Amino acid sequence: MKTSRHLTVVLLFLLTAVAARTRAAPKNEVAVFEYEGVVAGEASSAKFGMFRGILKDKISNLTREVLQGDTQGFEYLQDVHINFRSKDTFTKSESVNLWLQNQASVLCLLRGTLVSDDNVTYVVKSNFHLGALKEYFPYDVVKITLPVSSGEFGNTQDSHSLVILYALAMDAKRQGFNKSHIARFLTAANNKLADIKRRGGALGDDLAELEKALHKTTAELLGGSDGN
Amino acid sequence: MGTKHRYPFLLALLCGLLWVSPALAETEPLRLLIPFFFGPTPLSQHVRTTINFEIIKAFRAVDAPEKGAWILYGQEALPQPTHDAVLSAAAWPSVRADLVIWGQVYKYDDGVVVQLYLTLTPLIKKRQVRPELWTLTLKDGRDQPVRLELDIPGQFYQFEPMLLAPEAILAFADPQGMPLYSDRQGGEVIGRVGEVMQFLEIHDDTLLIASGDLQGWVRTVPLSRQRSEAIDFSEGMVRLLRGDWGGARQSFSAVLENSSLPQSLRIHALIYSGLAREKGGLSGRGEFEAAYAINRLDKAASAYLLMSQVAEIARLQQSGAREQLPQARQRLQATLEATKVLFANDDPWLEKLRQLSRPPD
Repeated sequence: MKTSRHLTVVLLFLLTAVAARTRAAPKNEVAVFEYEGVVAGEASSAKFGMFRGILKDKISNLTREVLQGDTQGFEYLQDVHINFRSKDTFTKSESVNLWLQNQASVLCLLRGTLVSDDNVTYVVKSNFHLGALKEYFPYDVVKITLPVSSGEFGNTQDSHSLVILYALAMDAKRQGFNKSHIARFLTAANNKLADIKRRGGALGDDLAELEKALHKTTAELLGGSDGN
Repeated sequence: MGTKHRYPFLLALLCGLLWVSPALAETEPLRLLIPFFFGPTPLSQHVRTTINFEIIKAFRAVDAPEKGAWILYGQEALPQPTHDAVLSAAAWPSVRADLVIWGQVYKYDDGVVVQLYLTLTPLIKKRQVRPELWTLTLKDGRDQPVRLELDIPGQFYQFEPMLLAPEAILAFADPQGMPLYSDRQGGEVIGRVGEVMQFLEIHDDTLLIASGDLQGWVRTVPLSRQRSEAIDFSEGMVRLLRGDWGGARQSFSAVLENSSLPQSLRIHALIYSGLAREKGGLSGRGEFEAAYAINRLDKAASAYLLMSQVAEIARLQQSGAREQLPQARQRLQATLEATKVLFANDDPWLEKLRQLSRPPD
């Protein structure tokens, strides 16, 4: 009886080890291309610099805050990083998707535009491309539009973190991790969504669609309930 | 980074008077580091100094300037604004901080934003006495003892970004440092606050400080129109880690009243509040249920809710109210069923809960 229990434990261990070895490689790069409308030496360049700084600082701390001290099985997240690239040459959505398909380590691609009517106040328009990781999100691109303003600092952090967390959840699903693993990202994503709403900001059409996609994934996990 | 190979921190002293009440006699004082803040100077320096003042005020006592925490004032910059860099800095032998409150100041377009963080270092797990650990030992359905333990759920916190008040921006523009006045009200500027200071008197709006050869009054400037939850939350953590249950409940209650509280912090503040209640001999189930209701995917909220249901079983076992045990076990089973998806299948903690939820043979 005791021997068969030991055998079962060993077998389970081996199966887990094999599953881990055969798991698809994680995607760990958030690729950010320089936004359109950014001109070196002009105000737009400084504004984009600030925006980039916020994203970089946020992503550097995001996984620590999501996992807290409970990191077992999440070691691969240590490699998640943001990579700032020069302006892209994509002309249409299909070419972006093709690029994503060829870049196995890219979790999501971020491009966009910095817009100003008066060279004083700016609006940042971010386009997130998730490729195959879009899952239940109905479009190829998640669009986020926010003024470059101190009052929108929190929403700038949280809206971009939200999309990255959704991508991490879908990537965990793609890698074949179990539900408890995927739930950790969805927990954090739902919290970010609540924070954006608490600040009174309108989610915008795409974040509202992303909320639906999140609820659908959560319901799938919990078996019918959306978790909130 | 020029300071890479240098001793990373000289600690300007601080004032930390060890105050030990009989209830907290076994717990060691905690070391709380406030390192250099990132961002444009002199703004970031002034923001850090003000945060230091707020922390000192939070820990003040009627007769002593501070309770239960040594405040360490870092003298050199961190290499990066990350929790990881903070952990490295806090681990240096000259520092050995249990908690770090750190921050970054951003000039973002039309205003200035302060982003504060709290990092709990692994040193908190190396203390000889850890009152914050929740441990229960009770008997399962076969009368076998089962020991369950739950550690605090968070180590890395980011607070709601704070918009610096225009009057603070104005006051913090002086590169010479904060003015030190001859009198608490009125009087003249007799010098500037240095990096090393000793607090002689602490009031809500002013502090009497000895800094270098000078002794004078500092008038504190509110950082923001809205009170940040960072000070109350950090104060609550120190109190919780020292086993000051009443104090912790008070601090987290103040945190929960803040309408700008990020959802992840609200969940943890509810958990800590419930934990302080349980540790103080009260039931924390209401707080854990509230935390779980906010986000039913939250593993920590689920774990604490489950633990409170186990605590209920333990209370029934101790009080001899055995007729209520089947119902309590059923409640535990139902919560287990609803939350098992949040735990790994082979989670040993969950397996112990399953063992406890089973009815007697």
